[in-house]
Amino acid sequence: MDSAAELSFREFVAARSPALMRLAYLLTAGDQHAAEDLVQSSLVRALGRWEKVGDPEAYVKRVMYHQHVSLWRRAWRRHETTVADLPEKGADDSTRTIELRLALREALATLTRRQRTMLVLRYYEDLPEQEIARLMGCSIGTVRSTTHRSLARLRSADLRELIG
Amino acid sequence: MNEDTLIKEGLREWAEEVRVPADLAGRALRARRRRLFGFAGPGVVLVAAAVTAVVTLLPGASPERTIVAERPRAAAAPADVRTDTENDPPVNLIAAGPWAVGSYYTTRWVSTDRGTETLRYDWSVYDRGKGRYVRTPYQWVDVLPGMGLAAVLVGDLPSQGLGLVDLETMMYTRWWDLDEAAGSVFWSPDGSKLVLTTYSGPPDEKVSVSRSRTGFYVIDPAGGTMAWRRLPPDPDGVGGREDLRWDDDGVRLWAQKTTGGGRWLYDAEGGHLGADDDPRRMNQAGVSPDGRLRAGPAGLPTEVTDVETGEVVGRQQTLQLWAWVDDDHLIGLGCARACDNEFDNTLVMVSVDGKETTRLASYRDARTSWRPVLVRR
Repeated sequence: MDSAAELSFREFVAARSPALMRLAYLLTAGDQHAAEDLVQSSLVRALGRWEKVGDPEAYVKRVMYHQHVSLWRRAWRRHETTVADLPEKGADDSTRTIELRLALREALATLTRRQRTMLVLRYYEDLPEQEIARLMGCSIGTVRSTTHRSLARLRSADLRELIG
Repeated sequence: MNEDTLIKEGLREWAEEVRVPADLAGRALRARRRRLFGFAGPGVVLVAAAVTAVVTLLPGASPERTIVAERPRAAAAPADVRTDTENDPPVNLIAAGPWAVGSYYTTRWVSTDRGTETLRYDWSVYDRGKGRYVRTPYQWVDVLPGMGLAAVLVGDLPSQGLGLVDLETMMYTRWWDLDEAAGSVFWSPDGSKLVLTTYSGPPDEKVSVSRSRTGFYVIDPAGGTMAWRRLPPDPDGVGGREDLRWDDDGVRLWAQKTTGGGRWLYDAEGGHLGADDDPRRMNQAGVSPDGRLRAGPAGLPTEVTDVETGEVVGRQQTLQLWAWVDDDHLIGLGCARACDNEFDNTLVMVSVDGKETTRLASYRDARTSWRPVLVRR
């Protein structure tokens, strides 16, 4: 990598690291350290072919999805989501919204990486099923069934009751 | 709120809670270099070169780097003159005789996440492969005489990564991870060694943070040796830069005294060798290659005198005389128009008699614009 490429890499990271970190944070279910590791290892991968990559952000994100799902052997820190104990139900609307979100976090943390990645792609990155299938290297049917199962699991984790 | 909206908003809010580390790019680059080079790195052969220009830093915390040129030694160097008066900052090589602008830099104050301000450097070097100056991502650059290689500090200063960059390919040929973070790096006069001054915090940050010089590394890239020595700051220092540079003998190290002028001298182990007055003065070309003439101090006009008689042999409409091109010409700093604004200046080549002046680069505001660093080419 020459210095011009390094400069463009640094500029890219400076501009896009908040977005990449946010995505990694969700993929790792709120684990700050694991999110940093994921972004760093994906950036290292991207560096290897930096000058050939047309859309760096799309490339780095794709590496992130794949790294996150495929690196199951790696000794990641066990994610620990810091969610408060759920308060008693029956509070006012704003409390109720907070309850819902905390429940959602807990529920997301119980999903498999693959399930969580698909939900993040679908609901956070707002990608169509076809694009998710392409990124994850599976069929649209698999995307649908995985999303379906993930949502079912979320619902079973108290969410249904909370959504009421 | 329906389920889709709940999930979307929940995810977005959760994502906002992440902390974004400051140096992700640097981390990734260091990790990749470790992977590529390990600790040993591929060998590199350094060509010893006769060096007579020393890049120095003004005393105190000033970031200004200026040129101190000494008497050139015999060397087969190109004799042509290359100018770029069209581009500001320059794109095409600027050179006269044995000297070239090997690099130039600009500085700007940027806010830190500590609520302070620090200097950010933007360095450009002459890329021999592309045949033009290119901007670099490095926070410190020192070009090896001969312009084939540059020592660079990577990431925020003080930096934990030193690289050698091949100026033909702009690729790293060597890499060192630094346990002690460095704020500057300089080649020794013969190009065989490097000295890096290490600091406990950002050396250019505007006060309010506690940081000071911690010591220095001496690295011999060809010999594969690297040693760090503790060297506390000048007792009179105020916690700013106290960079070490090589003396002309290539053995001793020196740092500008914080107060009172002159310099402290050290051996390569960090042993104190006392103090002396800096034998060179800032921005002075010194004695001509044939030893007959001496370039005078800054002024308008500047003067060149006969070494033996002290007689003034020529006056030039320049602000400073930086380096001898040959026995009859110098590189200096000339100002625009009738010098109504001394900061509106640029590099010129001027004859000793002051009758010929060749502008080498575009005029610029010397306080805020690019600052050239001369090197033997």
